[in-house]
Amino acid sequence: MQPADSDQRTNPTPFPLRVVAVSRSFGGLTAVDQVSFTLAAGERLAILGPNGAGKSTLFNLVCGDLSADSGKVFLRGKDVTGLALHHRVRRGLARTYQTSSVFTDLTVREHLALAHRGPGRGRLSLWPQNSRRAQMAEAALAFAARVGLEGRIDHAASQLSHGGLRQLEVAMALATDPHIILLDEPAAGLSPAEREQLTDLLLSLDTSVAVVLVEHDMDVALTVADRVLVLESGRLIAEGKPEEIEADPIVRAVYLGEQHGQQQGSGR
Amino acid sequence: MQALRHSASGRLLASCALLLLLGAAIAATPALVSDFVLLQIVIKSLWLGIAGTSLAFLIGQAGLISLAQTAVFGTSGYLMAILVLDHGLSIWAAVAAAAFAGPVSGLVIGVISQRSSGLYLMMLTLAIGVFGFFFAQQYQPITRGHTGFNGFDAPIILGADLGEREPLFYVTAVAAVAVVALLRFVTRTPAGLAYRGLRDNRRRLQALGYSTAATTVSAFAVAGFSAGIGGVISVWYNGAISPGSIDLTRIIELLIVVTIGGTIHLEGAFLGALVVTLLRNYANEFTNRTETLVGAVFMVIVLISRHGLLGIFINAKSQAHKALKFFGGQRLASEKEAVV
Repeated sequence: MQPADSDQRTNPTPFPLRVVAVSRSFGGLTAVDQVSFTLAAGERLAILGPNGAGKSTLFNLVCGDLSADSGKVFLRGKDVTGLALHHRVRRGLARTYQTSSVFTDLTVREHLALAHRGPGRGRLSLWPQNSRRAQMAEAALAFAARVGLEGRIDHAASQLSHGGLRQLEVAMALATDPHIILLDEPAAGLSPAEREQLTDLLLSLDTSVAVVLVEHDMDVALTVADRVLVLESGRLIAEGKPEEIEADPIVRAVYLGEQHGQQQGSGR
Repeated sequence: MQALRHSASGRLLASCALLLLLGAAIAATPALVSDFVLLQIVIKSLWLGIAGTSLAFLIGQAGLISLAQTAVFGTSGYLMAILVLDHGLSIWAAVAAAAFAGPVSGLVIGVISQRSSGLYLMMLTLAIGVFGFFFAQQYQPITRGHTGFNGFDAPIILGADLGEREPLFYVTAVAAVAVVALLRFVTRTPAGLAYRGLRDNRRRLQALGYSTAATTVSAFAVAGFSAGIGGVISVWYNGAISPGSIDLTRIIELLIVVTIGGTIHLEGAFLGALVVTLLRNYANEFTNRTETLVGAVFMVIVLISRHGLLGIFINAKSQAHKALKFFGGQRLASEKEAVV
């Protein structure tokens, strides 16, 4: 194995994200087994795999919600393996959750303000930032508009529909101004129209942002992705362009072959 | 009306009107109530309420149930008494030191409990609160043991002796307004929003770049301020402080005050303090089981309203609002019919 911290020397502009042989077990179950991958600048990477393949665990290892048993994670050339979630977020990583995770009593506007301030300084300032209030209001409205929540900006999260919560998740991730976004099944439970809107949003993202996407919906995943990884039982079994993956016999056997029709229909 | 409420100048106007109204109410109170009520009920509820806002802030804003606020209260109260009575410091220097000790001891408690939440936070802060009591009782060289400090003379401000009930009332009332204004100010800052984020979903807050530990410590420090002020005024009021001022009964009393009042707004602490003080003073006229009665009232209020008395009032208000709207709508409809 090459030296783990060689990113800086081999690459003048380091990969936004590099994962080196990470593993994690829960008791006797190895949820993620020696998985390595890199994410190039501006790339859209989809991770596919049947339920229980370790996709969400891999996400949690990358963002620091879980600590890895072994292996390393690099964010923009920096080893962040030992860093907690919030430190990784401050280095430009944003994530969404498979099950919407929001602040029940806060409004959409407050969610976006909280997210927008999160990675920067002054997030815990005890002085109202009046001079920046107008700017903040504008930014919040802009992020809400990108996901189609601008009409509900003063609604509390508890008043939002399931679709609204999914949109809020994505808007919060965007509002942290990230270099890398990890989207954990952003289309879960969305209506066909909302899926289309989400796909358009993902396609419209600036190329300064790299995206990793776990998604069951093939239409969303394969339309958006430049490259696809396939996980099975915690191991990486295939990697390639979307069309290659669709044609890959092993992948078809493990995942698409048996479940493709079903997956498209049921979504989640 | 709606536009006025939302514009900045409208809000300023509303705040000024409210402040004037409060000022008038404070000025009129001594004339309206008897000396006994002023001293035993009003002033007592005010300083207990000030200490209560500390816990109401932690629970209502940051979702942190702390049982260590009496330790902060005691630190400030004791510090002032020790500096004046044992070290001969001038009263105002001692008051300043005690006021400063509030956020500092809040900070220390925050640092100790930064990683815990929920039930574990309660256990940890209970241990800190009880430690405060035992320290006061047993560390005699500093705290004078279980007798504590007696004969503390309240300061004289602008020629008015705070040992007298009217001046003490005015100063306490102004302090109460100032403490609430300050805590409300904090709720409008970025930190205030982060506290509410911590309350609703601490994991998600962390996923937005916030350290939950730093947010917790910061909330405890802010809350420590009002607990400290409460401690200072309680010593002026009682002329004394002893381990009994911060024992387990007081820890629970503070929790009862805040729960009865309700934590959705900080002002609930004063409501709760008033109810508890009234019960303590008048219940013995018809029963000698005062504490049982306090407990029973507590249970009834908790059972019928999740947000205490404040929740009941707000609920009633919104019901009344709905009823008004309904009748307003009826009238509008009948007017329309008349036009047709």
